[in-house]
Amino acid sequence: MDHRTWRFLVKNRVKEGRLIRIAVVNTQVPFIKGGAELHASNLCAALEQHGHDVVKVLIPFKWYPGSTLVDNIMAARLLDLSESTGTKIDMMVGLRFPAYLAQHPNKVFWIIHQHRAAYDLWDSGHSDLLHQPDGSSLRELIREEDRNAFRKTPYKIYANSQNVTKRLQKYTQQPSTPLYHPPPNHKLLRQGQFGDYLFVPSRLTPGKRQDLILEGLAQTRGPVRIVFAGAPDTQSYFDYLRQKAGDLGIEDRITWLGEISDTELIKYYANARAVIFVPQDEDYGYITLEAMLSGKPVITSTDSGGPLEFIRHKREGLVSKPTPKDLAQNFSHIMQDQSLAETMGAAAHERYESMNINWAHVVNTLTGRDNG
Amino acid sequence: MRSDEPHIHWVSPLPPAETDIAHYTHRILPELTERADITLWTDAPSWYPKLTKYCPVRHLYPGEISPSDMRDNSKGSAGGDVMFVHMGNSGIFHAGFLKMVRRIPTIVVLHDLALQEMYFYAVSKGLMELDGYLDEIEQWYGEAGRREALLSRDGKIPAYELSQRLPGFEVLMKNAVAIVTHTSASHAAVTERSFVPAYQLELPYRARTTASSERSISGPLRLMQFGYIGQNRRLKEIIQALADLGPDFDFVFDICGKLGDPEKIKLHCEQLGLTDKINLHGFVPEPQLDAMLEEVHLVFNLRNPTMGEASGSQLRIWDAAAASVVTDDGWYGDIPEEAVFRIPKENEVSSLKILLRQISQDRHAAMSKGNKGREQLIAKHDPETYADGIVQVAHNFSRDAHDAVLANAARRVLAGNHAQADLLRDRLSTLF
Repeated sequence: MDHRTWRFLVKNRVKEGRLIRIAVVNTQVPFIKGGAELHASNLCAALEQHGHDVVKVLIPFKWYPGSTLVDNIMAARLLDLSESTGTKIDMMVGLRFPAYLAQHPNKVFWIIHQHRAAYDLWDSGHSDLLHQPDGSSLRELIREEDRNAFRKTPYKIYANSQNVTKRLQKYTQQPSTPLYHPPPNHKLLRQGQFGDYLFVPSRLTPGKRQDLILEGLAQTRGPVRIVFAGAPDTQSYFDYLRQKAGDLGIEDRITWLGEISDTELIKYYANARAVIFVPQDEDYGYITLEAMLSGKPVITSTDSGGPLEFIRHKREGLVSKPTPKDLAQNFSHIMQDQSLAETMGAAAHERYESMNINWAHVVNTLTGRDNG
Repeated sequence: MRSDEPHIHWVSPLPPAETDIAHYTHRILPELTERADITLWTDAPSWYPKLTKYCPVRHLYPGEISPSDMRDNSKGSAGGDVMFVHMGNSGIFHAGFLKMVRRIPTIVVLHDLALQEMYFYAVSKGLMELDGYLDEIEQWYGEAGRREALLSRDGKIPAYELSQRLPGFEVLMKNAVAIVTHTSASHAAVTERSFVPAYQLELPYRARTTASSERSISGPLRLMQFGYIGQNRRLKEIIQALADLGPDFDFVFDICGKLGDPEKIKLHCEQLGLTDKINLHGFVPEPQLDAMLEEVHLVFNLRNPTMGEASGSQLRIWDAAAASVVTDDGWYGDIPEEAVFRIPKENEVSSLKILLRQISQDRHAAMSKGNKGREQLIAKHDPETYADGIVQVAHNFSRDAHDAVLANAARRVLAGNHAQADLLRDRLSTLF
């Protein structure tokens, strides 16, 4: 059966309200929990809520040394997900490299991100491949695998944000369509008071640049307090942050909550003055959306990627240069002017509501109901 | 240049290094830099500053360089970084590069198939482990090959003899993404191994605007030989042929370049009474060399044995519209009949005597060969075509690197069973 016939039959079944079997295929770095993992889980839940039979297929991923990266790519590529125990799997949704290389005749890409070490991180000098003798070849392997996989699909390719769409276009000349989805607690997030702290909810990891936030805090004037929530990826990075806070003399203005429950997370969002989110070129970033749903302005950075699709300077938040000085000014500004925080927070909430960010739209788009 | 053009890293000996590969690189720089973003790399301590008018030149540390050293911070990298590494048989110029091509997947430009002398040099300088070298020789030539290589390394078999049976180019394929050769014989040898993609490009040479094949029709016959003159250049046989023609045969024989054993040759000339007719010049500046070629009636450009490699010297001879005599073997065997004189590998002395007599009686026949040779140069060896070919190979790097990485993974999975690995690679190529 060719792609078109397969797709036609699946669409008809969707239109008739009949159940289809869908494999949501994602990469899993063992013991790492972040936005991408939530993304896959919530997609599965949404598809099930819309009446489909869903399985989440997680393929473990290790990208070092280079030979293991190659083995992982080959392993993913060799997986055949077209059926299980003699029953056809109607559709596969591929989310991340290399898991989305698995074989299926009716594969829809909804790309969270490519393997960035072969793309933007290579260009920015942050790719681990740059320091491996065979790094150039590995980079080409990854790029060719992506190109070949995208070439084979007759369907539109979806990306989880405009930022990912731009990268796909820039590095593989692959057109794609951004398809936004709600953050995990979208139905529970609520608006509260505009408190006396700035909230930083995120895994503690270099890419989220908590160290830059600390440097910014050290340059603020006036009483600025920051609450960090999130588990560290590695103990060494957490030690580094605490050491830095100590060296900067700002320990008494910081609270480290660590990993907190969803209930606590919602509370901290609801009562913050604003949310700080300054990652380096984030793909999407739930934190932005969660802040918007909580009616909070977001302080982000000009190089943060995903958040900039939602936050405009002095409208839904403040967009800083990625420098301690500029961040410090914006931290102080928003702490000194609660009215500004309230205005921008309301605008952020309104903007979210206007963007058709809901799971029904995602499910209908991926299964073909919304795209003809 | 488009933003997705690959950045080419050209690893090569560079002038003033006394090797034709350095001159070759110099010759094609205008065309290459017109078509691609080029960076030159060499492990020599210095190079001609004038090269930098074409592109950046950087010093190479073959044992340390990584992709991060090659990345250009100021540019995007949609087209990628592609490394071309030029390999020949001179240990002095290529042993360092050997270390690099064994570390980093690259496109290897193979200027010579017979590389045993270079390997021995690399082993002697600690740039290659002896056991690693022997293991790879055994992989391609079996246990007998390993034994022969060891005997040769210990001086019991001359390296050039070993190279005839075990050329050794296969060692460079292990980590290569693709191989570029300059002759059909080399191309066939590489493709026969079915290990990496192989490309054949005609060795380039920028022909001067005009050149005349006209030569003096009176006076002594002007003869010449130049370059690195080892045993396979058959100088001893040439001198013998000239001696056999007797004292009345009027000629002047100029030898420019480096002789394997100059004292022995001088003694040989003295013994044959040819000292007055044979001049040993050593290396001469290129303009002088070209001026001499413009006056010569015949250039000896023999290769016996040859591994089939193309000759930069032959292109220089043709550029001067000079006649030449070559061995009927390898690349020279493929040259059109009207562009050179050819002699068989057997009975060289008598063949040379016949040819020399013929030319002394009919210098126009030699001039005709010179003319046709220059036509051959212009038709097949222009640098623009060559540079287009290099850019095309660079464009294929992504695909070739992809295939090479997967093939190497397959070989790793089936380590020790190369036949199975090749089968798996074929299977993978259908899947991927």
